[in-house]
Amino acid sequence: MAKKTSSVLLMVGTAKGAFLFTSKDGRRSWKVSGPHFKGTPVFHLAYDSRNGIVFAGVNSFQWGPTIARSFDLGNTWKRSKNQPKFPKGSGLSVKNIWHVEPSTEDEPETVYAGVDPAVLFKSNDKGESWTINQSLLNHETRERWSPGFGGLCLHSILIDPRDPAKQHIAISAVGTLFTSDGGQSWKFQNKNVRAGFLPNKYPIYGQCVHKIVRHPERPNVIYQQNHCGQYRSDDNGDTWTDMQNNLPSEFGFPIAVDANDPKRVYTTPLEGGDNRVSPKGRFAIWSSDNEGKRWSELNKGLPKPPAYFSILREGMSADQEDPCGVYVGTTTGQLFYSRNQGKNWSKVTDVLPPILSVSVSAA
Amino acid sequence: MITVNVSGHLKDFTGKKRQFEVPGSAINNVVDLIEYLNRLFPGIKERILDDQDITRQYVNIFVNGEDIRASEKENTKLKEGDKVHILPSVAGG
Repeated sequence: MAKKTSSVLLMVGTAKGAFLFTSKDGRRSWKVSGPHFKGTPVFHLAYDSRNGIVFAGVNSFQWGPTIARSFDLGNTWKRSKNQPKFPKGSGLSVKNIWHVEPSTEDEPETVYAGVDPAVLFKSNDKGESWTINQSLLNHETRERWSPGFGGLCLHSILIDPRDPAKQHIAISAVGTLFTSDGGQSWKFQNKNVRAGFLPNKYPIYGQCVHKIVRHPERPNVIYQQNHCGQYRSDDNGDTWTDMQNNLPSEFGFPIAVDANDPKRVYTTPLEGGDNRVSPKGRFAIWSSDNEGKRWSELNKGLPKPPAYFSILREGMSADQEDPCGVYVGTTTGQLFYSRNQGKNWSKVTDVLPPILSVSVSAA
Repeated sequence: MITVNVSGHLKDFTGKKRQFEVPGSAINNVVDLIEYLNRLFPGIKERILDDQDITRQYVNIFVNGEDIRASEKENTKLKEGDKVHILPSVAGG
């Protein structure tokens, strides 16, 4: 039976502020508020379904990064009292907040944040104050970590719904790391993931992971969009399987899963690292309903070729509804969505500033 | 008194005030001033200084019209009657 949520909240971070879209009619129409944080890049927004807080990673070019919270769905915002900070003497300073991730019901007031330069912060008070993960800050390989084009950013945080002490993080261009002890120690999980730009194509670390997502109903299954291919892990990240198959490119940024279909996954291939636009001007979302063994091009309702769009790592999201909704924002300000697993697409708007992130939640 | 002028986003912290005065007797240098401001306007320090207490790259602080980066940076001395401007840098065009 199709799941029906009374309200869907679509959170869009742009280069010039955030916009919140709300639908109360089954995702048929959207009411917008914003811009919030006018003129300031918002890299990511997250809705905490445990308490209704909206988090925003706001990164001012001049005044630095801030995590802000809204307790009233964006009507008002408050900065965290004690922002994420590197310790004095480390020589490091937070450049950008890249991702905010509420934890599970087992730790109801805990939230995590990933930043550039890459480190993880944890809040045990719903985002009011933040503590650095010392183990990651002092990781024995840290001096040899190299940044990706967007910086040395920690952009993906997966908290295991079975045990919040088990976490995956992903850093560009370092790779995927895993902790089983709540962040006291970290090990790399990049087996079979290619780093085509390095002399050693399969190093222990140094992979340019662009995004990882966990399947909510099958927590051992993790999908990865990498600079060098699309991958699936069936063993909680221990090993990865290349699933590019018939996709038009190995390159892309976001990846999303269908919460109601255990084998369905979405990605948005781009031509390549040197030309980050729709391959050959054919803008499409690609989906696979068999875990990446075979992919289908989804473009009904999307602009026809030539359409040279670019989508960033946080630029696509899938909701929890049934059938699944998929949402995609471009760096030229178009926001598209599908209410039926990508079969048909509609435009929410095409007049936003460059879109940096798209997040969606029942609210 | 030391006269402080701020602009841009910093006005969100000062209740939209662009200019205000602080007692020079309690303030020896720019670091002292920013700590003082942070007590008046919590959070303003993090917008001016980075995690290592260094002036953010695209923020400029002028004391009597002189950029502190050309003198003793955050340790630049302050005294009664000084005029301080804290401004975002203008770059690009």
